[in-house]
Amino acid sequence: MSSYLFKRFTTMIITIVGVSVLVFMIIHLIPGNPVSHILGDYATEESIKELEMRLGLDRPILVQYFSYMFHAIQGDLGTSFITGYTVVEEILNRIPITAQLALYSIIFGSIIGILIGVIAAVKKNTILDQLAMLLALVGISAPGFWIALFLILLFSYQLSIFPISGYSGFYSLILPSITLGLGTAGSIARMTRSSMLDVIKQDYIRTAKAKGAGLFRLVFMHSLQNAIIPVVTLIGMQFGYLMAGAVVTETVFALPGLGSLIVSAISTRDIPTVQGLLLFMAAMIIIVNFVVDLLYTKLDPRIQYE
Amino acid sequence: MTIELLKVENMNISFKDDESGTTSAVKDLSFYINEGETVGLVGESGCGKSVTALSLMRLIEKNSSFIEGTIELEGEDINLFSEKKMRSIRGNKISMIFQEPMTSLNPVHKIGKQIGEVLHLHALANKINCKEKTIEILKKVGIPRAESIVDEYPHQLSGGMRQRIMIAMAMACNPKLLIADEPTTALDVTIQAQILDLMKMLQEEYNTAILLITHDLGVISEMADRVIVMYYGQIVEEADVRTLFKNPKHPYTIGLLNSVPNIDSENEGRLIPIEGNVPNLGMIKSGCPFRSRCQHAYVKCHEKNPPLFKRDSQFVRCWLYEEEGVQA
Repeated sequence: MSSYLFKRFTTMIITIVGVSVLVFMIIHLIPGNPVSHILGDYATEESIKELEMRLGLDRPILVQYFSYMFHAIQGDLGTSFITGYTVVEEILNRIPITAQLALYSIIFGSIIGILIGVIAAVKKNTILDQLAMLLALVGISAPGFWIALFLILLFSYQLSIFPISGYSGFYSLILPSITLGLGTAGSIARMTRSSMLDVIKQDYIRTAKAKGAGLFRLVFMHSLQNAIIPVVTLIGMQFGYLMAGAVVTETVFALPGLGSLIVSAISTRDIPTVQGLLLFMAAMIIIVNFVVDLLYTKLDPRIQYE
Repeated sequence: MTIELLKVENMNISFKDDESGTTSAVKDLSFYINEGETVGLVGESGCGKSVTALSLMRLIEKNSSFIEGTIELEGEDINLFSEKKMRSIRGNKISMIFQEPMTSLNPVHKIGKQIGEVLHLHALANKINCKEKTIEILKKVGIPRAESIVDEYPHQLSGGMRQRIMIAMAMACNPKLLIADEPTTALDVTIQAQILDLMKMLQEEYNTAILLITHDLGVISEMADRVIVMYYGQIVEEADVRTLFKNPKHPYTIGLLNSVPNIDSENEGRLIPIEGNVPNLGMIKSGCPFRSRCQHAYVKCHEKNPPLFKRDSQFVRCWLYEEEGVQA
């Protein structure tokens, strides 16, 4: 186990370094000079030169990269060009909202998705199954901003149950979580269904039936734990999509989270913030998937990491 | 005195199929099993043995199949039971062990939990004494270090051990009837003998009746008191084990016996296979289904499916015995 952990840890670091190179390159390749953006249209040549020097943008790109990484390792992701706060401060300020949003939508998506998938599998080839899969398809294909607007119209505007936008505690995160969770629920429902259909056919399910087990026991105690592994993998992968989805959802619902931060940082060419955020999100996704891999051993005793 | 435990009468099993409505898998099957008796059910793959076994426990998919006829267990027709009532029978009065011990146990549950589940389902143990009782049962089926095996997973055990676990699970509630569907087919020969011995030992101790399904005539000769030979979903011969081996009557039974190696064989050690294959279900509309593979087939065999003819205690479904026997 410890040698496995060591190996996984090394690959994680290599991946993060790879991501950092990519992020750095992309940002420096997109057109538009951040300095002229900061100084506005009437900036003089000299003032641009001076600010470039102060921000360290006049140095060769490799030097910039290594200097950035040197500081990043020590937990310093630079300072925002625009707000003057450090990027770490910005992230720490906004992460509670995005973390909650991700957590609630994963919980919502998993519960709904697994339930729908199980029902579809148990009622295979019936109207219920077709309905469930249609629902899943809608969940996957409907764009987040459209779902968000639809939910706002219905629950906030017409029924006045939830706030239209802004952050005011758990209550204001319900609609955003549903918006973000629906797509996840759709993918999870499909995966659960196909995985369950596979498991239901297995000999050990017949054995459980022969022991006198009822439907509930067969489905939830015998089939689901065997069917859940690909679903858990998917949930881990969905985390990446959630980060992307949070960008749209937080913007629509005007939530001050990481997603809306990255949108504003990109539009103001705030290079350190964009870099820091992308790196942070990538690291989160990598860590979540690592945890998922460790979870396998808990779910299936046959999986052992040597 | 022999007491009749299970009595199956005119059982028909058919499956829905896409085009032509239904396909009949088992036709007009009638047999009985006495308490403590071992009945062997023999036949080639696809002759309806396993379907019969699964139907006795109503384990075949009920949306796509029909079971007609009566299945009386201790005088009650379990074919009329509700699903809930049937669940109380499964694993309790009738239990079953399967061919594949490698895949018949749930890979993600501990052995103790899987055996304890039967006890729990039929209220024979509570949370406190469940583990204790499970260990007791494991010891009974000859599992070494039973105390630690309850906390192990199926993948940590060998095939023979897993089949012992299956037997332990099946015998946990002292069932009246044990259905063993090819219990030794997937095991190697030395383990086969151990498993058969174990089944015999438990049978003697609890007076359990066994319905032993196999295509292995060696297993039958060792275990069974009475043998039912099936072909194409119907009984073609039924006799006690001595009579069947000494004096087989149906050409199919004779063919089966000839295709097994025998030291005293008259064929100079050569095996004689039965030519051809079992016809697909629904292929044969009239006449004897074995006629295309039978050397003795004549006109009548093509016209009409023979009924069972009875002579002494032996039943044969073949026109050759029309004169000798009485129609059963």
